[in-house]
Amino acid sequence: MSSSYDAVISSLVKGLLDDQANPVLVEQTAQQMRKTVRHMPRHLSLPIIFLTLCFDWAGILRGGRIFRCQSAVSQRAQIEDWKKSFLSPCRELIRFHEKMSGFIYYSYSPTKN
Amino acid sequence: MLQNRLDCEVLVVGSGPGGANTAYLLAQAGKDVILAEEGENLTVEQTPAYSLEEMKSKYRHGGMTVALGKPSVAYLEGCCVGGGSEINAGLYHYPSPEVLEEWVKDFAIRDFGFGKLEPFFKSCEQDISVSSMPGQVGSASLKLQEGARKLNWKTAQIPRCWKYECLSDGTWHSSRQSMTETIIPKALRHGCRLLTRAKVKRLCLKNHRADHALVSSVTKAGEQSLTTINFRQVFVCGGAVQTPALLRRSGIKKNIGNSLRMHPAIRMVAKFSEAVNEEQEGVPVVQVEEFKPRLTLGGSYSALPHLALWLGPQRIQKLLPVWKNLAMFYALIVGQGAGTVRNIPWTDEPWVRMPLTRTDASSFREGLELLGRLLFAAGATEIFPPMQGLEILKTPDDLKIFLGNLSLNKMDISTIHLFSSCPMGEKTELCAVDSYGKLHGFKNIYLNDASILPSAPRVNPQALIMAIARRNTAKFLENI
Repeated sequence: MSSSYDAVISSLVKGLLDDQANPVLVEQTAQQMRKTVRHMPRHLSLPIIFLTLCFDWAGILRGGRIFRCQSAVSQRAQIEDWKKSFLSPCRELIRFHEKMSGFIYYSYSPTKN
Repeated sequence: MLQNRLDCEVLVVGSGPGGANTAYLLAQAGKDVILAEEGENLTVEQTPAYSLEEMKSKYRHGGMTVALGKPSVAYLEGCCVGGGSEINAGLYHYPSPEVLEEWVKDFAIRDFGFGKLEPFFKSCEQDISVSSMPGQVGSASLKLQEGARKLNWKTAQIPRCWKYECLSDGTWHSSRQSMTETIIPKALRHGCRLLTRAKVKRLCLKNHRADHALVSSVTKAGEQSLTTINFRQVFVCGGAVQTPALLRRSGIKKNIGNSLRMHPAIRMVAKFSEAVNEEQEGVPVVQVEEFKPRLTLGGSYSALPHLALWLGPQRIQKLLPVWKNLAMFYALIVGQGAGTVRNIPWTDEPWVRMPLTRTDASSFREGLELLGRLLFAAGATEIFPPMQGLEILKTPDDLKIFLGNLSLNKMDISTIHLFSSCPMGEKTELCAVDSYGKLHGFKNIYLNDASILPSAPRVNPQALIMAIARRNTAKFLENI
C-alpha cells in the first residue's frame, strides 16, 4: 500500500504543478509531500492516504486505468474533475495537495530569490 | 526502553511564553525547577523565518494541524523550546481594559484588571525588548496606510518583540526576541533544568494532587526512554490545545477543553502595479485600527512559497514575472464559536473541533468587504479571493458579486491565536482554574498559558499571556 501511495503522490504532484516545472524539484516536492502527510496527526493522515488511494482507483472508472498509469492529459482531467466534485472530501483532497505542492515547490525553487 | 527518575520542586510543562516566564520567575526565586519541552532546542537563526525548514522543525506536526468543523480551521502551534514565540510575528498588543473588566464580571476573577497587570507588562517589556520598527515601514504596510488614508480609517504601527540594531553602514539588523533569545537563557542562568524532546504523557494523581509525571523522550538517534519526574508542584503550560489534552489524558475533565476560542483569519492576495513585496519587511507591522477590537485588517508574510500556498501552483506560475507586485493581507475576526479539545482513544493526539457560527460568517463577510475596499483604495489592480475556483476581482463591483456568492464552507481559514480551553475565574461552573491559575479541586496543579484566558482577548495574546503568567507565578511565590 505504501509504494502505491508513494507512486500516486508523485503523479498527483506532477499533475498539479505546471508543465514547465523542474522535474528534479517536482520529485523533491513529492517526497516532501509524502513526509508532510505522514507527519500529520493520524486522524488526519489516515483519511488522506485512504482518499488518495481511492483517487488512484477512481481512474479506472473514468479512463480504464488507475490514475498513476494514465497519460498526463488524462491525469490533469481527473484532477480537474475531483477539484470540481460535488463531494467536499474529493475537492478538499485536491485543494490540500495543490496548496502544499505550491508551497513546497517554491520553497525549493531558486526563483524565490 | 530506558527508565529514569528525576526529582524537582516545581515541574513546568511547556516552554512557550507562559511556561518560559513561569520557569524564569520560579528559578529566580530559588526554586528547583525542571522545564519540560516536547520539541527541540533550536535558535532563532537556525531556520529562516516562516520557511519550510522552520515548519518541519519548529511547528507541531510540521504545521499540519486542523480544528475540524464546517469549514475546518488550520491552526499552527509551536513545538520547540520557546513554543509559539519562535514562530509568530511577535506583535505586541495590550488588551483593552474593557475586555479585562468584562472577564472580571463574567468569570469572577479576583484582583484582576489592566491596572493590576500593568507592572507585569512593564517587567516583560524590560526583559524582551519590545520596540517599533525604526525608519519607514515596508511597502505592504505603506499600502495599508495609503488605502486607509483614502477611506479615512485609522491605522497604527504595532510594536513587536523584536530588537533593531543600527549597523555601521547605516542599515538596520533586526532579530526576533523569542523565549529562546530572552527569557529561557535567564531561567537557565538561575539554575532551571531544561529537558527537551520530553513529552509529558500524563500526570499521575493521588488524593487531589498530582504525584508525579510520566515523560517519554526520544533521542535524535531514536532511543526511547521513560522518565518519572517527582515534584511538589506542577505548572502545565502547553498552550490552548496541549494543556487540556494532557489534563484529560490524566483523567482531569471538569471544564477542561470545552471552551476553546480563537481569532480566525481569512486572507486575500492583492496585485499592485508596482513592487510591494520586500523580503526584509517580514510581517507588515501596520494594522487598521478602525474596526478593532471586533475586526483587524493587516498584512501577512508574503514570500513566494506563501503566495503559492494561497494561490496554487498553476496561478502563481502565471504570475511569476510580477510576483514582487503581490502581497497578502488578512481580516482577523473574534470567533464566537466555542470549540472542544478531546483525546483520541489509545493515542496521545488531541481531536480539536471548532464550530464557526453564523455571526462568524457575517464577520468574515464584513472583513472581506472592508479588506477588499481597502486594497482597491490602496491601488490594487487585482484581488485573488480566498475561495476555490473563483474569478479574480478586478473592480469593486466584482467584490460585491463575490460577497453575494460567498460560501463560508469553501473558504480557507487559519489561525495562530488559540486560547480559553481551561478558563480562569471563581465561577466553578464555568472555570477550570481559580483567579491565579490553580486547578479547581486540586492542591498542586497550576495552569499558566493561553488556555486560562477566559475568552478571546481580541488582540494578539502573547503580551497578555506573559503578563498573566508573571502575575500568577508572583502570587504562587507569595503564597508558599
